[in-house]
Amino acid sequence: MKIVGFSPSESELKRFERCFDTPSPLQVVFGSDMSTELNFSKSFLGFNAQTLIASDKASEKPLFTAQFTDIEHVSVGDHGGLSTVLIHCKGKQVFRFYASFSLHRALNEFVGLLEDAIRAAEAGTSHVAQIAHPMPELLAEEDPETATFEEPVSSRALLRLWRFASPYKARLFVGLILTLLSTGATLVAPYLSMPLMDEVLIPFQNGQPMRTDLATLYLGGLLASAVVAAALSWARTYLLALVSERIGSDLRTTTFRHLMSLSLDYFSAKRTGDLISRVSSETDRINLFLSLHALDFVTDVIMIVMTAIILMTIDFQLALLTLLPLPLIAWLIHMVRERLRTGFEKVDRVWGEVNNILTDTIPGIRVVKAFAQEVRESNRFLAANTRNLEVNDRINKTWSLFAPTVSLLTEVGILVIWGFGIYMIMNNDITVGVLTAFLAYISRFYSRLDSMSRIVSVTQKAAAGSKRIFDILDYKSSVPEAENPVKIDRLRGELELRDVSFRYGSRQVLDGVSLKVKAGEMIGLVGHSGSGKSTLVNLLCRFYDIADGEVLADGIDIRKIDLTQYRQNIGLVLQEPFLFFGTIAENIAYGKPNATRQEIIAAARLAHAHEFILRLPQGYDSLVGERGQSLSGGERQRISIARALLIDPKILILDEATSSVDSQTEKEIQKALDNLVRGRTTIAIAHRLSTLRKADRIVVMDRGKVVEEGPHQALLDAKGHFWNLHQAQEKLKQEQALYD
Amino acid sequence: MINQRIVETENGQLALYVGGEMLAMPIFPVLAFPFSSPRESISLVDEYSKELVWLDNLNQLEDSSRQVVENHLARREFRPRIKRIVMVSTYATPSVWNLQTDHGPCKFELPSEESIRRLGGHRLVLTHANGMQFIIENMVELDAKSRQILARFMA
Repeated sequence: MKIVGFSPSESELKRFERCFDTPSPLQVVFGSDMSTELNFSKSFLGFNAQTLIASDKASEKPLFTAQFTDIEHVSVGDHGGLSTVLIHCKGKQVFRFYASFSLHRALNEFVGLLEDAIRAAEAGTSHVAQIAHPMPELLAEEDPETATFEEPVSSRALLRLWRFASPYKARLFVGLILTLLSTGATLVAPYLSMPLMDEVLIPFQNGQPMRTDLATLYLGGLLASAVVAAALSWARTYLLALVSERIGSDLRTTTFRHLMSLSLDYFSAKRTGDLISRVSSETDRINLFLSLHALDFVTDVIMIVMTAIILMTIDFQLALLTLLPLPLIAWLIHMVRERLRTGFEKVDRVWGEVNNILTDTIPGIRVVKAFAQEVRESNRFLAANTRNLEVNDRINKTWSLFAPTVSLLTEVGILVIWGFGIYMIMNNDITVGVLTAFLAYISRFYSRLDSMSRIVSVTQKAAAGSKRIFDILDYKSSVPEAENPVKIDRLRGELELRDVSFRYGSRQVLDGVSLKVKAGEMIGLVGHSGSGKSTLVNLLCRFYDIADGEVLADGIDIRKIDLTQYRQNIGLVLQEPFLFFGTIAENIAYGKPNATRQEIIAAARLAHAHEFILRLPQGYDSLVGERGQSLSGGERQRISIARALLIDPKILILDEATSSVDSQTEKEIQKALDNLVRGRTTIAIAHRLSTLRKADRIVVMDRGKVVEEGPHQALLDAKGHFWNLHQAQEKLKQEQALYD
Repeated sequence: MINQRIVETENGQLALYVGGEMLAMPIFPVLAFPFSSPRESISLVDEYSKELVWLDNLNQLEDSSRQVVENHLARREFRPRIKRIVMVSTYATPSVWNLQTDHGPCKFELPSEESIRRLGGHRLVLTHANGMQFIIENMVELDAKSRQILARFMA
């Protein structure tokens, strides 16, 4: 017996087996996470040699029984994350069985096995089921309260930054030693004030002569310690700032590099503004944290520990009293920490929201203005900013209370020492010098505690930032590089799709598409928008990986080919050509940065771009803007054709390359394209069917399926889908001709 | 009231009738505004997504047809409502949540923070990694713990 989908427990399986009244053993069971009433509850669908039965987890009787001989039809469909099996028996109302889409593979497998079994039963042979599929489940554990999860800790995200710090271990260690030394040096000063008071000032006040030699010695000591402390502190600040700057820069470049390696589906799910703010401002915040706050914090901790030790050696009793408020402040810090943590995460998200509005509006400024919605966009921005204010205000309420409380505690702490110190001097327990030293130490001590408390907020901010960066870094590309990629140099250009299916989320876009393209062949891909043409091309470029089936290039599964090498064999010309900021020459040489000038000009000539480029005042050195705004659509398109020509790809993909230009420009582009197509495997998507006259074969797609395939004329003669599309366009053309 | 009738056939498909004559089969009722207006603005389309009948309102159908369409929509537009967020695995996405819904307790996987969408007012739709959509009718009316959890994922 095989179980697919959600596994039933022992007792549930027993109960399910009892539902069968025939003696034949159970063959395959599908465990679903949805009941037949559409609740999240286990239910089962299973069959033996003759009977199909459905049952839920509690019932002793089957909810549905059908003999194989009665079953007319079984089908599976899905919509919005819910898969449905329809079982239709002769003369009965259809029976529906549900599962969440998480189980769709298992469900499809089950239905496949069921169909085999029904066929086998009809043929009178026995049938053995074969495969099981472990799948992620939707059902909650029996008792969700007992489910254990890992503790979410946001500060822990900071520890993960060690990965970026570890290359600088040696320098960090030197920095730490310098920190220890410089902190030690600063603590010498208050210690020297003690004998200065007791051996010089107080005896002088009591009528003894001034000990100028001792005074000079101690003052010299104070000066020396100050100079040494300053020098050491300069060295450590410089060294550690240098290191942290490098860590920050590594973090930024690594994040960007990782971002570049992610597949298209990541970018389509994220908003540009949010990604930009993560890579730029979050890394900057972490950098600031490392170079300033973390450094200060370490210094502070060292200082506090050293001070505590010194105080203890001078006078134990007074030292204990001095350190009394410390736990109270630590507790206060902890309390605020909790409240601020979520707050800062929120600030980040709101900040991303503000950025999103900017990235939405600025590129779309023409639309905004055309529809006179400037005020609305301003209001939207205002609303996001108000939200930003609200969130910040809430945090500041907690935050502003925090600093004064710490200050107050400091003052009270010093007051206690004064009081107790005076009492001890009265009893001759300590000298005036000791009290002076204590007060000098303690004011430093508390001022450090105060600045330490500031670490809470910056740590939380940095941790939140680090979490958001590791969100990117942890994301695995859904188009992974093969473990032992097949190295290819030049492809011959044969392409084959074998029974390819693909979905975006739960929307089926391609459904069992098979297509063979010979090397050097030109295929025209036509169909209504939404028929899956662009998806097919995306799969050929391996922007996404397919769910089912295979895409082969030269007979090799493209998932096994080295991704970079594979894409180097593909030239892509899009409907909306994208030009990067830079010169025209750089844009043409984008796919082959080391191209010579001759190569660039040759490519531009073939793309019929050479002449118009020469007409520009700065020729090939002309700068083109963010979107190449100074050039017309046709000109930009010809530059992108030159770009594709320059890498001399074996496979060429034209995704509606001429759709967005007028018919005159189209003719020019068409000439350029004719040069491009020669000797390459070409897949051309086109709305204007006339541009596909030269195609060896035309493939017509409709709702994710290939519905027609053949040469231009043959398809016209067949009077099918292609003929219909063609007729519609001809009619349009005639109407246009009438206007002209 | 329109004069077309909708009938569910034995094999589970919907058919459109005028009088005794069948106009089309299968047909599919489709919501034009599944979130903002789930009971109104319904289009009846054929298998090629060609619109056959437009209904401003389900009340334009006679009772049995309306029942058929409603049953069909309940299955097709399956969107459980979240009553309580019991627990989340982590505050970083992807995150697995334990939920109480009007269709029983279930596990929910939030693939990214972008999978939470505001529908205006305090209504939210959360899309499970498998595409299933879960609705929170009013985030303000959730219990405190659920709201706290939710707030960690939202701006």
